[in-house]
Amino acid sequence: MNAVAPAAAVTDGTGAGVAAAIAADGLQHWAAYGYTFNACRHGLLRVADGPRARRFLAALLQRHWLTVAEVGNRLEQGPSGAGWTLNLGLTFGGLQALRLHPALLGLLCRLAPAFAVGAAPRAALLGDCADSGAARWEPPFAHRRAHLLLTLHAGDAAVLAERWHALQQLEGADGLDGWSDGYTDGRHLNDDADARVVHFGFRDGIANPRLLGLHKPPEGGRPALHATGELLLGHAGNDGCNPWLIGDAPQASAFFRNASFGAYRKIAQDEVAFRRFVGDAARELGVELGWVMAKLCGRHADGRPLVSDASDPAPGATANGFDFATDPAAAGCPFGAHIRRLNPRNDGIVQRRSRPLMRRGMPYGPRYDGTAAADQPRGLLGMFFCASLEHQFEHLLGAWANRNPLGPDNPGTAKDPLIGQHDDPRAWFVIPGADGSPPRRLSMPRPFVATRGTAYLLFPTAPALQALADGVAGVVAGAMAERAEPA
Amino acid sequence: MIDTNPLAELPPFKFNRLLHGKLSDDEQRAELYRQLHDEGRLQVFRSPADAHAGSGTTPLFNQQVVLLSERAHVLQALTDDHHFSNAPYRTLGSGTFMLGLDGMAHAEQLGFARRALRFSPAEIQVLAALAWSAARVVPLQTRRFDAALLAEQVALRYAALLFGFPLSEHPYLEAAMRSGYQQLVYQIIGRHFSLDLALEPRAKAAGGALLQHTVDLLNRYAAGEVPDDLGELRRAPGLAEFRPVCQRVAEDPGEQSATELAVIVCGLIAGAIGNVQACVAIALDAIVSAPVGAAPRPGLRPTGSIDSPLGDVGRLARSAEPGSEARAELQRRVLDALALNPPAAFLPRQVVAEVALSIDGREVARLQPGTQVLLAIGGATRQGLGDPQLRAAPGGDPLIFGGGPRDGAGADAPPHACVGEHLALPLVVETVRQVLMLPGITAAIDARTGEPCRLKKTWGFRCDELLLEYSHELAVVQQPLSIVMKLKAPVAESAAKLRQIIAAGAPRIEFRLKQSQQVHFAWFLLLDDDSKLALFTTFDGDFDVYIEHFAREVGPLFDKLFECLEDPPPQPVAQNPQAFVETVRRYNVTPVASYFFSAYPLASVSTVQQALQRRSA
Repeated sequence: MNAVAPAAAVTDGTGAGVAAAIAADGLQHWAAYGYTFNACRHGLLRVADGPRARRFLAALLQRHWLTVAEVGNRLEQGPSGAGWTLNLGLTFGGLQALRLHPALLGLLCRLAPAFAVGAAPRAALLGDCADSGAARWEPPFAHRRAHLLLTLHAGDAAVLAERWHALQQLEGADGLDGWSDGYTDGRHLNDDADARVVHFGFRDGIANPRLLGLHKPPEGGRPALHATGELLLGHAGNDGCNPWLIGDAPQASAFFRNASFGAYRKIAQDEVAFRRFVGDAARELGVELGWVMAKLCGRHADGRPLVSDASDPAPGATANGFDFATDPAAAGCPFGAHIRRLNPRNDGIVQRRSRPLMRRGMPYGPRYDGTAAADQPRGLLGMFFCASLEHQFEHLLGAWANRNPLGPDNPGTAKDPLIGQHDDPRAWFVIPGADGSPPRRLSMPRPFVATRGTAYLLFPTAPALQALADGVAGVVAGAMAERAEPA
Repeated sequence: MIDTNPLAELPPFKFNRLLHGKLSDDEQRAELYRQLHDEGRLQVFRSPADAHAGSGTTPLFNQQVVLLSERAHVLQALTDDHHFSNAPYRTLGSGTFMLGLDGMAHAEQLGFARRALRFSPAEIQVLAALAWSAARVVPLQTRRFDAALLAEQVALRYAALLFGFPLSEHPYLEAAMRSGYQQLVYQIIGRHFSLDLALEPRAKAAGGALLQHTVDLLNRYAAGEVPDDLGELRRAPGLAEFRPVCQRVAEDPGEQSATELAVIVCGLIAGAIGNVQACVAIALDAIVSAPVGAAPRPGLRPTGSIDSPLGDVGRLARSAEPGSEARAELQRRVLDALALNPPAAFLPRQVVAEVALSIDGREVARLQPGTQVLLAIGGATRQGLGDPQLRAAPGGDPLIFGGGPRDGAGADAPPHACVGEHLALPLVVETVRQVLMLPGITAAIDARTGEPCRLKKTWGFRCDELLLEYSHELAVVQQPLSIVMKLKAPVAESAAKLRQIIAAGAPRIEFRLKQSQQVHFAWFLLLDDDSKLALFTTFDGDFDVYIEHFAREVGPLFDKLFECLEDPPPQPVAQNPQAFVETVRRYNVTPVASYFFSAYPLASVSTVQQALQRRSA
């Protein structure tokens, strides 16, 4: 079934050929480029009436409300002219409810089993246990409940509310449930789109992968661009395989082409507990708070990496062109640190395969300031785009955050210090010493984050959504079904 | 709503099914008890069970049974042998030392049993820990496991240690206890709602075999023999002076014959195993798999922090060493869960003399001699939850772990330390604790419904299955792979070709395996007169990730191998990695009992290599 992508599509070093093909397909902008808006609303809705929900989808597309990418212009910051954006993802249940052809559903079961089964039964594999377990997720994330995710981005809450209201006025909106109780709002903690900060106090959005045909190569050329197929279906991945190019079923290939999978994950962050831990650790080790935070994360709070990259980055320099070649013993950045686990760069990871993940998250809840507001709920509305939930999103969380990545010589046994579900007081986060000084270690008896829910979504292109709305996604796939299952 | 007089409302068959449904469901059952109390009435139903076991009469709805769920009634029925008899139960011929069933057992047997079961708390703790480490080996080989089965194995291992059964007796003990407990529960409640004629002969056969083995064992102990297992056990810290029950009774048999002793021994074990299993399963279900929205305990954490009731109980478990305050707190949580759903949910009695029963001082029924009574222990223990004195007792409500009303003057008598509290409760708490300490322990999610898999019970009593999950890969990083595939005909030709391919390809295999840093060992075998090719490896990490990686890395080699094998996956393998994974999954043989041993379960290939490098540096 799988086939190597035609070499011509990727031989163009600038990716211009790929870009042209993508632009024609109307991929959703959010996955490829993200937005600079300060606020967002994620609404998990349920299809109550299939035909009416399809009418809603058609109405939304007819008004061109879906924000598709302008690849030709290489607008890395996204279209903000309208003052808002809208994106739409569908769960497997949603595709069923909208009557996607069984042959295409079958294809998803085979090629994207995690998406087909849904996030809840997979949660334990990612280390979501105890109070992060799927049994305790917030109601909109309940298994098979959510069918589609509508995500608005805008400058402020008023616009979000106004657009949410407008969506509800669309024809067919009454075919969807969850308008009043299925959404969560996020807001960036600071207004500087070039220097976003997330809860726990770290700079964010520094190291998103860049893809051939979608993004400019970084200055200095490092890190290298990833193959388009690491984010968009229907293109070859870094290994040259293109499982979504289905030779004997061009219609099926067309439906999935340029779609991405996305994992929407709501993560509560206990900043009071985190700050207390960092304070205690700093006292115990006799070091500065900032030193502890940096060792846990792998970057200083302001984003500077812990490894020297040719020249030591100046304060505020959020370099991403470094690797760990200069830090083989992890004296700078511990092997167990958040960024070294989830992006091992050139570390000797078993199965030398990069697993890029496009992170499009936004915090919710007020910024921690040590005052009375300290106790309010806060966290991250994470959205993680990729081409394979199993090999990218799930592997990162299950095998690299919840366990030690195989390969690097990490003597520590703790999970990812920032996002791990710590439950073993005998597990240690080890900070190797510099210049032969002895390692130091920290115990994390309790997690600083709790998963409130995860939803696995497919973000098809505008034409694919149109086919779904028109009910022809089934018809066009029919030919494929006939070929695949001769009567 | 079930009426007091169902006969006028519904045909007995329908009514019986309706009540069965209510009693089988934890929530509906609790609701029924509450209704009965609020409305001040008793639940009467007609049962198809034969009132006179063995009389050969056709089972019709010929028997009236009264369900007593009021605490006072339950206590009276258990203690007042002037009006209530244990006849329906005695037919089973077993004692149950932890059911609050003191009235059941012959006083002589009970006293005898208590003498034989006198062990120090230190010995009990060591035995409980040993039982856990023996029982966990097989059930915890997989990420998803059945905690009810695990708990059963803990109880069996514990009983074997405590009573002095050698390891070789485990299958007999297991068969007899399983069928014996099923028969027991059937006799108590199942027979009122269903018919299972196969249970009794099965239980008799298995019970007979165990009895025979127990008699032999007692004779061996009487002759001064000590099984090797016991010799080994005594080398465990704190067990140098340990004398198991069988040895004790064999050396000091009193007036009993070997057979009588064996009957007592088997009876004592029978009640214990099922109930320990039920206690553990019920407590874990309440703590781990409790439904969504289980509220955190108030006052434990500031509002903005992560609500963490389950994380808290996990941390509690880790600090709950025997004798600690945390242990007492964990025990209290276990007992709270058991008060809501006691392990022995029902007990049978028969009225022998007319007795008046009242609720809140108002007479609600006058039971005639011969009336069959079903005691709803859960109704009584739920009412007991409101009694601070009962909750403060270290062993909890005596209706759960025995002791209790029999020796005192009714319900207000202080519970005494009984064998259940002494012998079973420490094991239950230790087992719950150990499960809560498994890394990443969580309720298994039913992939069909997305709901947590809850404890499955039969007749609201027998605990059949509780699926939980834990991060098995945090306990063992290695896995075995054992693929066995048939050779294409003509087999001899295929075998010759495979030998060639493997011998010729070995350098490349060697190179790739080294490079992968993921495979500890790998070898091929030709089996069954060269009719099958086997590939065995020990590898690190997840199955899918590993297999898919090799599809990409050594796909051409597999393509060549598959030319000689039946039912190959789509080729080329390197371009169809997912199909290859599915094929390998299909041909991967699970080890017997899923048992896989590793001397260094947490060492990956790279860990070992790095350690060796350091040594040679």
